[in-house]
Amino acid sequence: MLVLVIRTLILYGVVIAALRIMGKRQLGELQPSELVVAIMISDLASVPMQAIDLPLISGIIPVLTLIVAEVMMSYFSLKSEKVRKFLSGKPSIVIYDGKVDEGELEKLRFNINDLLEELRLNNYYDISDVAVAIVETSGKLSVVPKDYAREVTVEDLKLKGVRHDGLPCTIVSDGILNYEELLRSKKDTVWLTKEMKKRGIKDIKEIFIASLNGEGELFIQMKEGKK
Amino acid sequence: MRGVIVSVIIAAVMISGSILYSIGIRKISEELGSINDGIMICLTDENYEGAKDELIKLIEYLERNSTMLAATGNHEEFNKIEINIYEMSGYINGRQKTDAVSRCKVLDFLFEHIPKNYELKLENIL
Repeated sequence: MLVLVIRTLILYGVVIAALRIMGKRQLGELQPSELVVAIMISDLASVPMQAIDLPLISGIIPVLTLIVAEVMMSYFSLKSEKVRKFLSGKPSIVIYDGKVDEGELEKLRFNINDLLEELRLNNYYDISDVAVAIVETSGKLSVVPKDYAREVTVEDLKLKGVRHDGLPCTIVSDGILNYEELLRSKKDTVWLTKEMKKRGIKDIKEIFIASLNGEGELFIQMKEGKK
Repeated sequence: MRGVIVSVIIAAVMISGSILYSIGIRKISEELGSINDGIMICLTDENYEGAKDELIKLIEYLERNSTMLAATGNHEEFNKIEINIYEMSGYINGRQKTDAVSRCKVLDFLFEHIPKNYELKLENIL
């Protein structure tokens, strides 16, 4: 029985490593080839997991082969538009200048109800509010609204003294100081020590999270049980 | 870019590993066949003591190379080899020439078959 556990853990490690080698694209929206590869990898890894008669390598080698093929195809599609078009297709404009392109919908086998559903899922309940709608290669719909229907921006309101937020820096995470984030925030340990003293915090290990935003505001949450 | 480099390295390791493995497994298969031929000759001459010694040599050789064989081979096939070896051992001890020789022939086939699945042939790919 322990043999099954060890085999499962090994194959689990291989699949995780495979997904990491293939990159972050696997975690987000998948292209058709990526979806196929992800499904195949899980199928291939599960066979030797259960069948103790089969050598482990009969699952590992196909998984590795798929990774190599997928990464190389991604690389070639990066370098060549023809390969990109062949593998992923191209985005299709289904609404342009407020007008639905019936021919394009037919090519995609996308009926008007599907289109309206996707628009609603994108928070556009009135088709007349849409200037451009594009069906991406992943199958998702991207929408560009008409000017009067888009969200108001800070520029539209001509506001002054707008908060600059940017990406907050998580300086401390679960009691551990993140030097990279501290450097990115353009602060140093002396500053952090001063801030901790101001709040009566004796040890950095007591901090659950400390985050500095673009406005220089420091947010600190202590660990449970600590004040 | 790192993913591409890692993939190229994996591809190179797999290809070179496959080539080396094919060479290795063929050598093992030939050696097993050769020892098995020795057993067959002893049996033909009704030299049962000689056959026993050759059989021990065969078992020891299999044990020495068991990891390499088990790494990629079908475990069921190796179970068949072991069953035939034990049966042959029984027939040799019982001085049953015909049955022992038939087991020898079966083993000959099984040993020849070991590297066949890994040969780069159309029938293996299809």
